[in-house]
Amino acid sequence: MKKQLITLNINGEDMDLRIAPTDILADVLRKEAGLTGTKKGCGQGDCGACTVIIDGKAVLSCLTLAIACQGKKITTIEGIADHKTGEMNPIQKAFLNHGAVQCGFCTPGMIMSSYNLLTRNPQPTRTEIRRALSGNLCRCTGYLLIFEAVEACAAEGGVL
Amino acid sequence: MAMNKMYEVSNRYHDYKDYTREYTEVGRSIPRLDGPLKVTGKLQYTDDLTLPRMVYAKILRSPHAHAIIKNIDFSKALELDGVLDVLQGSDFPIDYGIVAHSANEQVLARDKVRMWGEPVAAVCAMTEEIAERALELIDVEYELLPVVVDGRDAERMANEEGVLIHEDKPGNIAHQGKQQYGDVDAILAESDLVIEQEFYSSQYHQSFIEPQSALADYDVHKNKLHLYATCQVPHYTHQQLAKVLQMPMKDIRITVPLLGGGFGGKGVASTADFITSKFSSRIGRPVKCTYERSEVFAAHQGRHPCYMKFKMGFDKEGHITAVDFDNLMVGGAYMSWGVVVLFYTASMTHLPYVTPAAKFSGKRVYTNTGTCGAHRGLGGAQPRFAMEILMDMAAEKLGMTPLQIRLLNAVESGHTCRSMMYVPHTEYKKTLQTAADNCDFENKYGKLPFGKGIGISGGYYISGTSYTLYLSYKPHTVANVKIEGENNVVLYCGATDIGQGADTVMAQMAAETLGVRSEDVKVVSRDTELATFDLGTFASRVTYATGWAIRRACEAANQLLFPVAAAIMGCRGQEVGVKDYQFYSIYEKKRKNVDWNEVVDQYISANGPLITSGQFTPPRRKGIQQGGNIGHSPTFGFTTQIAEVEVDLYTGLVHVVKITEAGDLGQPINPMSCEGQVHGSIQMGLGNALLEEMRYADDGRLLNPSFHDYKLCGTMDMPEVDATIVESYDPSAPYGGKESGEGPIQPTPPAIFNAVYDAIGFRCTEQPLTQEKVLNYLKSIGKNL
Amino acid sequence: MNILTPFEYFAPETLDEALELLATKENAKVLAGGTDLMIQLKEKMIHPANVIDVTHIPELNEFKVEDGKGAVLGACTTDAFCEFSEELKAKYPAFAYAAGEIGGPQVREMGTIGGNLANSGPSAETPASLICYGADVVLVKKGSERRLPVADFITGNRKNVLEEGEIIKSIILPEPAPNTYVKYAYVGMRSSMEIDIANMAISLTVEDGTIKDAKCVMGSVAIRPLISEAVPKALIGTKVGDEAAIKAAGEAAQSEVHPITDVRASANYRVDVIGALARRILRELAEEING
Repeated sequence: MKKQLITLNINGEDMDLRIAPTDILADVLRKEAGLTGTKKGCGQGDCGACTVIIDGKAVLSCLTLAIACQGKKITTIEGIADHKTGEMNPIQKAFLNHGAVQCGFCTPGMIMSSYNLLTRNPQPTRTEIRRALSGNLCRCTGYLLIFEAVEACAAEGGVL
Repeated sequence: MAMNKMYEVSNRYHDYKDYTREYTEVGRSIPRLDGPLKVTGKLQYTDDLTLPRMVYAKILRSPHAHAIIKNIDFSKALELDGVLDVLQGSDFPIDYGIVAHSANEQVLARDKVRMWGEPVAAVCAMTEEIAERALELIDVEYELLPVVVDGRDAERMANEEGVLIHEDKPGNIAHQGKQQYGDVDAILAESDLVIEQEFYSSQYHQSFIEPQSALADYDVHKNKLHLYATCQVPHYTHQQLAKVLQMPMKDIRITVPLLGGGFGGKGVASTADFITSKFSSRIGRPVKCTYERSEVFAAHQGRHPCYMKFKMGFDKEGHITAVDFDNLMVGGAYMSWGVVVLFYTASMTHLPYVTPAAKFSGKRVYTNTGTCGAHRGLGGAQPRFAMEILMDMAAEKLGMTPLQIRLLNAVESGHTCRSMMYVPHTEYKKTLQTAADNCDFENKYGKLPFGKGIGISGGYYISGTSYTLYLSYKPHTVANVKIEGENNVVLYCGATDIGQGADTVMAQMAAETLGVRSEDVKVVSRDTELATFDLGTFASRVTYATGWAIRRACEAANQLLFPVAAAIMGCRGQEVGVKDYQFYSIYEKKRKNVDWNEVVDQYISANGPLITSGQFTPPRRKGIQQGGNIGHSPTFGFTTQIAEVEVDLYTGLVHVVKITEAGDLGQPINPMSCEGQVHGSIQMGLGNALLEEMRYADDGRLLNPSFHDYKLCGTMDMPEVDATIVESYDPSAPYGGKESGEGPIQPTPPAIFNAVYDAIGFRCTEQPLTQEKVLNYLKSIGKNL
Repeated sequence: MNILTPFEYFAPETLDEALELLATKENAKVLAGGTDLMIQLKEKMIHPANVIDVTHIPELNEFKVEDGKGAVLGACTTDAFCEFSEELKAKYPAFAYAAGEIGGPQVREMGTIGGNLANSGPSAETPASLICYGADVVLVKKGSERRLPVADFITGNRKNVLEEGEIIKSIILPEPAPNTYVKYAYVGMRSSMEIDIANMAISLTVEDGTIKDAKCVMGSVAIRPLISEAVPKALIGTKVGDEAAIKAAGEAAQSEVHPITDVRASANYRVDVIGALARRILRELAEEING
């Protein structure tokens, strides 16, 4: 299929990418943009490992056409650390320090959903956290230490 | 802690920490050492890797569960622009399998397929898209055969209808075995109470979030293969690749980049491993193949479903007198870990209760369903499910509480089972009492309003296997330590971190003995060339086995460093201790101490880099017969869980509100990691109990090969968990630590089933406990709303 | 599953432009949130030659709630917007709740109310409450626009009245009738990411504690949302919270459904829980109304 050149704004950077209209954002991020932090766990919108933030909304990059993202702001797991120093975002530190990370494969998606929650609702209740992360599956942690990480991050000043 | 202990150990300097247990690195809840790279998305898993000139492979899978392959026509696929190569069954004449003695798995089906989704052909192409399109152009002609879906039909269909899944396996019996310890029939005849009950433990999948992936890079100039793979047993896969590809092992290197979960499901070689290797060797380019989620389910290797018939005898005080266990274990299409799992189900009935006599009769049968393999808590979860319900049934008949009957029968340290399994150390009773106290079990059981219930279950698991399937009689694990000025401490150990945190725990154990910081220890693992030999991640063996190997390697290093330190400090070598980068006299720490780096520099200046090695093989025991060696472990971890449930009387839906857990895992090396293992086990066990099941159509098609229909417990379903690590120290274990990742999955389903009985009186013995079964029961007693 | 059949992609900025494309491009599919369409494309259930992304069209993103004048939701209003909208939660709580129970949070951020209707899946979450609220749907194609009740929109399993080149423009919710209460409930296996085993919305109009009017719509128990005739009959004229009427309503609901057995639930269970849903909703409504 014929490829075309498009520009996507990823993590604040305009990237010129060669894609076909049928290309899925998750694949374009991973293969064309080299951002393999976004994971593919199911390809069907069931696991949330591919979660990225587009224009302030946590969405599934495996169910998104890359071509439809022109003119939008895409944020991936690589884009939430400090842009100048690379220092981890507080939510990343919280996941690390509270044992919310085991195999790490669901982690980028889980962090993006958590980050998005805290940007909109800086002091979420446990129920709101559970709901906000209910589109992300994890098979290692049993979720509880993830909830604690989100709560700790909120208590310590949030993500921004 | 006791000057007398110091006196005792004054001549055994390297053991003194075992007596004082004043650990500084062991017992620290440090975050994963690879964590920063995981939370920033930088660390690469297999599918994240690319190599120059890399191309892609895809697998064509059978749409039929049992069929003869009459013909495969690749001609149209090969004409497609960008297709590089194709493979079929005849390209792989040699079968593989994790158990070498019974290996019968085909890389690509030759002549016949035996399950839905069985690999039939493979395509290699410039892009994944082209490879996928090429699959659609391959023409396979099948002749359909009758299908065996229900394991209970397997023998009958073979004998009466001539439906044989493997031509050389009459009765569709993959393996069968019997064990008898004591005259069980006579003892049961004389027992005050005998409970006879059938149980079904269903088929579920590990459902790790990272799909299997393999990237093969074959050097056609040197005829060497480098495979990057999602594998929790790289050394076993190494052996199997050599066999199937007919290459010497020395020409194969396997690297496991990082694993996104395994839980046993990646404890076998994958089709992707073989086909990428073969393609790469034929076309001289790196080849990658990553499974779709549906392929992950098709490849299966999950829990063996078991149809279990139990007779369990008790005396009038409630002591177990004998256990009679008949197990029909459904294996699916191929052997995989089958023989091992069958005998594990037998041996796992001997604990955690004193079992004076036991009898086992088991068969693993073939069916045209997904091949079952090693699933977290392998072989233990199925009989545990049955026996923990039986304990409750017995308690009720005997007028005891479920806690009382368990406390009465629980084993103590130093117990030897009838099968000769030896338990050097246990705090099982303490876990029972702690869990019960923490949720006020005795005051709640039987006393909650209709619809609310509480249920208890015990569990345990091995901490390694005393016997190995690896075709070599060498030490089970080896650790090498290199200490040098430029790199500080480098630990080489081939154990596989599958997400549980082995790399971090190994660093902590090395740091403890060497007296350095865990964060400063570089761990080289998961590579058959760079790291050392280790059997792999299964049987909860890693912490215990590598712990000893690491400790011995580090103690060997200390034996070289202590005299140097002693000479500088002016004391005897045998009174040197080390922690926090400081050598010191254990008698006069303030006065006699020296910086660790100074000692290391002095040693290296004189001798060059310091390299030492340690190894471990579990002790074997005499007098074991009847296949009872399977199940033997250097030690065992124990756990108790209490589930509190609320049943929705409208829909039958069971809400698990809270799980109270208490675990005997010895001295936790990293308590935060252990807590995570418990939470994760409960998430999985809860799904196994209520939601998860591989469902097949009458023609053998898998009906739910996706996460929308194979349902994992999500964030909204996860109960509150109160987990306690009980005070425990196993003197037989390195640093006192035992398993924590497979024991805790055992009690979750039976605790939930027992809680539902307490809530509504429904004694369900078949997994999963669906809302439909619950509602049907409620209707039958007129209690639905 | 990685490849989609090749198509051309269009993202029109105006409604006219979109309708022109839909009128002229062969074999075109409309893309809104994509949560259903992308899966159909990946599973190769559909092979469109053209994909028209309608999310940029202002008319399809309209949102208007005015006192006494109901509400207008552009077809591209997302599920998440409806879930969190304070105005919708106040005025149409059952609909806002239903929108918040679609898939997971990411799916709700992407998925649209128009898409949930247009996809016309038997287990769709929003039709039941929309029908109970008496919502209309506005359909538009080049040169014409029509308005019809949501109740008449879905005709079968993934079938609806949309004609070639026609799209959903908006959903119009009338001002809730006075003394009218609507509730939605569903049965799944999990508490999120669920495909409903059965769902139901009931609307009661009450005067002096007596049910004057009732509606009941059931999902996932027939090829299309099933508008009950028997449940209103069992309820109208009875007192709110009358147990005999509640039980009769449950039986009435059960008498009308013809569900299938699939991997998610058996037909028998669906029949059982459709009665249970009716009883649960009616008891909860009684508590709400009687206080």
